[in-house]
Amino acid sequence: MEETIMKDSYILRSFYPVVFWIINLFALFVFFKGHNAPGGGFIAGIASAISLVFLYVIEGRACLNRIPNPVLLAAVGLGLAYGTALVPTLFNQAFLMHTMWHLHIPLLGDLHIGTPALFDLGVYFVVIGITVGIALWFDEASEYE
Amino acid sequence: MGILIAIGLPLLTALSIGVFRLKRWVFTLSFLSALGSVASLYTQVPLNQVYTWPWMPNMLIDFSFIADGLSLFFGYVVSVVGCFILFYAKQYLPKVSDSNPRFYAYILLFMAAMLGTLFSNNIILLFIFWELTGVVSFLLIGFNTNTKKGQLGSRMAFMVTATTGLVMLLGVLLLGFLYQTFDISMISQLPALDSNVWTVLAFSCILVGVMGKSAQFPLHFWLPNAMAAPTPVSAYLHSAAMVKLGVFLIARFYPLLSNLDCWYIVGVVGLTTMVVGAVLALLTYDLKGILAYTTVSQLGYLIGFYGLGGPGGIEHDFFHILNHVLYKGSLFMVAGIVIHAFHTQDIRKMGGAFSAMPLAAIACIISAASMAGIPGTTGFLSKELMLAHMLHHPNAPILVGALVVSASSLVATACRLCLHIFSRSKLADPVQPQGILFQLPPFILAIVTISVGLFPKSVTQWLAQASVTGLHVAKPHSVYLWHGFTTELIISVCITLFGIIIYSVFQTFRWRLTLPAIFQLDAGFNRGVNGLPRVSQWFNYVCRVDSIHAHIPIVLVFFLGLMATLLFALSPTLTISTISVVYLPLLMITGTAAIIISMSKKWHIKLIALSVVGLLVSFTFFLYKAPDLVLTQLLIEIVSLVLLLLFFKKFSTMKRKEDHAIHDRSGLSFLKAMLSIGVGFIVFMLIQLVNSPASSNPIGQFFIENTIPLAGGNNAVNTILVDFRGFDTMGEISVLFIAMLGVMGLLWKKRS
Repeated sequence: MEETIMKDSYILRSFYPVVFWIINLFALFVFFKGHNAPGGGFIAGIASAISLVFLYVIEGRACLNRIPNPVLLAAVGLGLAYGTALVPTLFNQAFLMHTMWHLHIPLLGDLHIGTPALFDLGVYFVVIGITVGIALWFDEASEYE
Repeated sequence: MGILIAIGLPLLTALSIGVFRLKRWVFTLSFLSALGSVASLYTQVPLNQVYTWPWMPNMLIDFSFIADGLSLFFGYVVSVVGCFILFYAKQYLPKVSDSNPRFYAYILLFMAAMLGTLFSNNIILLFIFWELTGVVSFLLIGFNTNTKKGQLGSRMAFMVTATTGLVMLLGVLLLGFLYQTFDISMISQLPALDSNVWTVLAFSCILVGVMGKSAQFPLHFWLPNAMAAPTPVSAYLHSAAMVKLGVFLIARFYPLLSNLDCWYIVGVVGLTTMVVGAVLALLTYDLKGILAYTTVSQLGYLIGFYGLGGPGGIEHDFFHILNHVLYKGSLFMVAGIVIHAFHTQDIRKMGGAFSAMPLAAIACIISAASMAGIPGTTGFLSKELMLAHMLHHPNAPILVGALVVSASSLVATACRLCLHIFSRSKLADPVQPQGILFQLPPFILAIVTISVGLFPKSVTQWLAQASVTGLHVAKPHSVYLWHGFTTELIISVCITLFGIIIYSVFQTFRWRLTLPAIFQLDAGFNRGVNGLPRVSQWFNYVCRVDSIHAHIPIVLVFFLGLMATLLFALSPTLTISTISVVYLPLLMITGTAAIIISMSKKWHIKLIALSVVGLLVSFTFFLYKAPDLVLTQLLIEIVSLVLLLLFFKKFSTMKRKEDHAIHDRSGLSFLKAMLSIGVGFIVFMLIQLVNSPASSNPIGQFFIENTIPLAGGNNAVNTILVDFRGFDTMGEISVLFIAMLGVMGLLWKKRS
């Protein structure tokens, strides 16, 4: 039996699949609410990272195959943020200049979506990658002490 | 467009050899590309026409090129000699080798960089190409990467030329800011500068760059060490082309700077180098080393010549340069052939090589005669012109004295080269015969030397067409082989006699004298470079980066000192804000929890107290109506708790007694407590400062008002993060990423 951090807890094990999705739904909610109400990529990133760190706490190494590589995740996020910043310069606009689309969708109402959301998505990925990565490495390193 | 083809053709060929990893026909391709470069310079280059493509217009930096007489002359030298060198390298390099294409690519890249430097019309562009030549020189000196000599030589050459290049950049930037332009064609039309602090500073910086690139004393030592390069490279970069860039730059800025009071320093530097180089050439026995020192001497001669000129301009400088290129290129190529035949560079182990390489021997004799200044060669004319120039100078005795010393040393060196390589035959082994094609390039150069030396008129007239206003006098004197019995001729005869006397004196000593220790600057330089790691080791030791317990107090003390000074300076604007009584219990509980963290010895109590502090801080944010912060703080608390738990997982089983022994010394604890209180106080005061009404900035209002019109979001906190101050956020996530890589590196080390 692989060692996990908490002694095997049946309640945690059974409920976590549900809790995991609740945390991530919360993160999604916070992410999209961000532009108009408290929230944003950073907070959503920490929330998602917490869900993944808990997954690791409960399942141990076994979960590592199921979650994305943290370094890769952070790199993708960084690339997304830089890409969002750089693309406007190709269209002769200022570095980091945003573009917004205002759509009117029947039943749902007005939708405002823009490149700042993509930038925020980059922040989101970077925060997840870094938090999860550091937690994993701390744990691995402390086992070899 | 001719300039662009001349620069672009070798550049593109070099890049395509590298990118497509060409293996066959590389030589043919390179040679054709170099020929194309020469042809495009020859056929279609209109003088003084500027070609500009904007690059960074608001910083006054453009891709701008221009050809004037000066750059065109140097351009011809570089491209034509480049063709000779490529042809010669084909014979010099091993017939089959994987590294040959790399060699041709470097040579072509160098050619492009040189032409770029020469034809740049923007000082910054010139600097970029200038440093590119240094980079290629580094690659070529260390071409035989497995030899210690190559490694050390390339490192030294690069460090000297690149560092002095940066100093030069400072000088040209200063010049650019003085005139608000980096455009060379505009700068050269300006009136000559008067002496003041800034112009003298700019002049000194440029002079340092010139001294580094052209190996002037006391920075000459890299050139003999650069001889670790394959001989074609020495012949091209370190004799004919790259080291001439210093001469080119001096000529380029001559109209602008020659009016300065301190311009004579150029002459002093050049002529000192001329004497030092010529004398040091006598004290070495490495064939290429001898040639390197004579090159140093000749570069000093060329730069010193500009230094002697007055504001009116000079004449025949191109002739001096052409003379050196012809004979030194030829001598270096002969040296390569000789080294091939003897498998050694030690001139004491050579002799009797005439029959094995007759053409090269003739070339060597003619070129050495030119170096010695024997009538009938370009060297003789160059020396006569120089003597005539010096005799009209107010300081004639010193100048002529210096020239006599260096020229007679060169005569002795010339005798030594010819006699020791070709006539003495004490050696038992017969010398390996060398191919005709191999000997052809130096022979052609020698033929040119002697034909120009005998019939100088047409060449000097051709050179006169390339004159530049401000640099050259309007009507140059004609050059003749026979001037009559003048003072110059008498001095020339004396120089030759002295040279023969020096040769025979050294011959009786069997050339046993070596370089005095004081002139072995290269050894000192290497010691200095090797000592650098020890300096940083010492610095690390002083800062105690090896121990976090010792390092953090040092950092904090510095921080406290800095911030206290800042606070003191800003204290007039500081007002302490009052808070309502409601907050008092909250603050007291937070404070108590914080004290528990530091006092308690049990880690789970510490952890709980830490969480209490965190939660209360988020509650404080809530009271101040900052929902974003509350949310962030709460989540951060959770993450850090989990992280700490992971970290403390095995902590309870660890022996912490030794740890305690370090931590609990009372003096240290007191220091730590004082530091903590100090940092807390400073941070508190800084927050007060930020909230002081006198320094409060209405920028917050701007964001709140513009968050919808400019960023399309109601939450100003978020729009600041992703839109208004998106650049800051980008920096922050980059820093986070770097921090993650750092953690990864530190923790993965423990795994192995």
